[in-house]
Amino acid sequence: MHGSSRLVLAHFWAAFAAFAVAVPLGAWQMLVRSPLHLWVDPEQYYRAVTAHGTTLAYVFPTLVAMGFGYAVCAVSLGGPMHGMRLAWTGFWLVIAGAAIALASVVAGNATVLYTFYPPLMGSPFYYLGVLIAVAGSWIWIGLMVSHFARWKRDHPGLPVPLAMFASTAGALLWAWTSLGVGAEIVFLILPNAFGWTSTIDPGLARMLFSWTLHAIVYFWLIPAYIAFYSLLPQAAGGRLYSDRMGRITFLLLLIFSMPIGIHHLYADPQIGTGFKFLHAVFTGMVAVPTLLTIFTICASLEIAGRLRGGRGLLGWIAALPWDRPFVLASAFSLLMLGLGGASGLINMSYALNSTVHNTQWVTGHFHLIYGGSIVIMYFAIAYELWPRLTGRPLAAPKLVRLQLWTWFVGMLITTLPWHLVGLMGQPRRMAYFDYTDPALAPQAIWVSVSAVGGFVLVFSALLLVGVLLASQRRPAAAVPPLLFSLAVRPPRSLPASLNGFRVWILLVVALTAANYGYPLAQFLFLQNTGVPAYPVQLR
Amino acid sequence: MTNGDRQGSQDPRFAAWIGATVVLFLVAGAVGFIWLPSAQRGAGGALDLWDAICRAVGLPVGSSRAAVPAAGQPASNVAWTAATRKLLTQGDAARGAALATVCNNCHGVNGVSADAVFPNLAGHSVAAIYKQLEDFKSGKRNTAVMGVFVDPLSQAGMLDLATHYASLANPFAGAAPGSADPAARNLIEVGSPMRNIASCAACHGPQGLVPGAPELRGQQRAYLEQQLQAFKAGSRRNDISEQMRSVARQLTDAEIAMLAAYYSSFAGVTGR
Repeated sequence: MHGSSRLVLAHFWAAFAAFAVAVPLGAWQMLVRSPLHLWVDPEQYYRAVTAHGTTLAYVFPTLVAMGFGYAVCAVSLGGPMHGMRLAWTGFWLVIAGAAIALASVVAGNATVLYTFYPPLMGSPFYYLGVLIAVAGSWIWIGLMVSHFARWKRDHPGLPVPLAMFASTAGALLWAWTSLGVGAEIVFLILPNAFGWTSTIDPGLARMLFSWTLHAIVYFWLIPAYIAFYSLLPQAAGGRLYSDRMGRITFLLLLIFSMPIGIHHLYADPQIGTGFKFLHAVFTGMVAVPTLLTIFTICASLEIAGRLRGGRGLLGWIAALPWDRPFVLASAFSLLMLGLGGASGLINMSYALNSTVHNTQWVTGHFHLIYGGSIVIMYFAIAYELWPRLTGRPLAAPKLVRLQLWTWFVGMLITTLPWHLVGLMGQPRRMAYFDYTDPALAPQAIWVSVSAVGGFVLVFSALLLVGVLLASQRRPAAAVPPLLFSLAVRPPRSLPASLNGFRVWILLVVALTAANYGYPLAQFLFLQNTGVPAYPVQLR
Repeated sequence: MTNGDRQGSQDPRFAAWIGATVVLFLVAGAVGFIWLPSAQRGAGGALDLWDAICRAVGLPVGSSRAAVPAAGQPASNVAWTAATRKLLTQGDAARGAALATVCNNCHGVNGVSADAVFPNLAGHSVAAIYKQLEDFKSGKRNTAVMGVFVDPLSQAGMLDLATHYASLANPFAGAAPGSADPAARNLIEVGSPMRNIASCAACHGPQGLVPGAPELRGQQRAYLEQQLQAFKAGSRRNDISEQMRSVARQLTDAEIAMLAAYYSSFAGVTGR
């Protein structure tokens, strides 16, 4: 892969190592608060939740996005990357930051959950660790943008390859959205954690976190969408239905996924209802790129199915090569995206949200979207890249399919009951429940079922690591190079609006100022909004 | 810069997309800031339109600005404000240790009392100890025994004492309860929602992070029972917002004895 294989492989291995530790923690949490187990010390429970969230939100997807971004850069631009030393520095910063943050969590000094929840206040090292990891990912942002700009300069008038265009959109999105959590840590949390301030403003902190909290999911999602557009049509034996639709999708994600974060704060009193409504409307807009993607991908798969001899209205579906991991994973991903998207539309509706706010419904929703439809595409990407990175074909195709099936089934067994008990009123973030209470007894069976799903997911996660390890130990063999999908009509030239970001970045900044400007600025003139912090440490 | 960019100035998509975004923003703004607030003005237009719009923007208006009249005397003169929290960091443990020579006669040299009616203090939070000293001094808590000892203390002295006892190692931290009474654990971890009894653990731990809520692990049995009975009878009244009185009133005498037995059953690392 033009000399980037080791770099990409390091990112993916670090990501999956973190993943293999964090998934069993999640299953353990589900077990101990289910009726199948006695209650444990809540301190242990929340420590595990913090480690699980910190690893799977800040470390695992960031490393996958970075690694896949480097792979896309090398393959789609067709040459060795520059700045390899910088790229390795970024990698080690993420690893070091993650290690520092998780050490604080394991020591019991930062049981604040990955969303920080000020005025809870943990050890400053936890927040510093997160900050260092984010700083590492900023190096990746710089490298993506510089490769994009350099390629455009060297190829005037030519369309930037779609995968690289999308990867750069993801990098720009992360650059803008990570500023929220960065500002929260630097200006509010660290001064308090070091003891320089006696109060912290939870309303302002939550708003800054919401700046990051929604678009971070789209930063995680973009590698999966790149895989849909750039790898799936090729893997299914067809062509991409529309290259332009892909570009429009990634631009819409860049523009609309960020200035909408207040939909996480519908229950927060410090924000006027007008802004909540405004953010709800713009949240509705992010459904557009997802629907465009589902349309384009289904059309591309239909092309593949018909090329393979599928006939009739739906015959092309049966004709698709379902034994190929990429096709199987993508179908699972789209199914989970459909379900999770539907529950997401409920969450974003101001009035409906009040019935599910802070219940297990929400936990079910984001595990289905992120843990389900996004992460299963990370697996598919790994299976597609592995032979190209290691020069060895993938081991045990049957086990690969079993791994994808168990992840899909396990995720449904885990998350569907979560949605249900959420509707029954079970709150999230609780260490234990008394299921002998008649009010909670009907939830017991569903919570137990859900806990079993957690262990199916652990099996699947360990199987993934096993398959990847076994593949790397096979003898070297000739492996066809990685190719990105061709569009039905590959673009020869593109209008500036679909081949660059300059004007769109201005639009993103303006929209952010319009949607966040006043809610943030009001903290400058509202008095007495700070409260004493609440130190979280072992006594 | 490139051919593509030169085309860019004429690319109609920029104007169309940006225009559509602006229109969306204006329409959403009109609905969110004018139409919905005007529909939410309450029965008979309880709020005038301008106030309704201000509220949608997030500006405090009208009734929310009116001060809430306070009646009666507060349960304690200590309030958990930022200023109090800051004050609590300013005690001097060494000076406190010197002052504590009198206190040690009842509360024990290590802050672990030898008599079940006197509470242990070792490793309790500065906030919890300081609040009780201040309440004894102001008469918010029964001064029969403690009054004579706190009278000569200044605020700084009380802070120093609290800091001294907080700095002593709590021999019961991390210990397991000697009693595994499931009924007691149920009250401690779940409470009794139908009787409006919140779980003890919600404020007193295992994590025990609520400002002012004292550590209970290993606390003296007779002391706990006496205090819960005093809250129940209303003879102790220094709990802010009647937090403890409203719980204790609902507890039966048997439950009070059971909770006292449970918390006092923790075996300290130094033994009893």
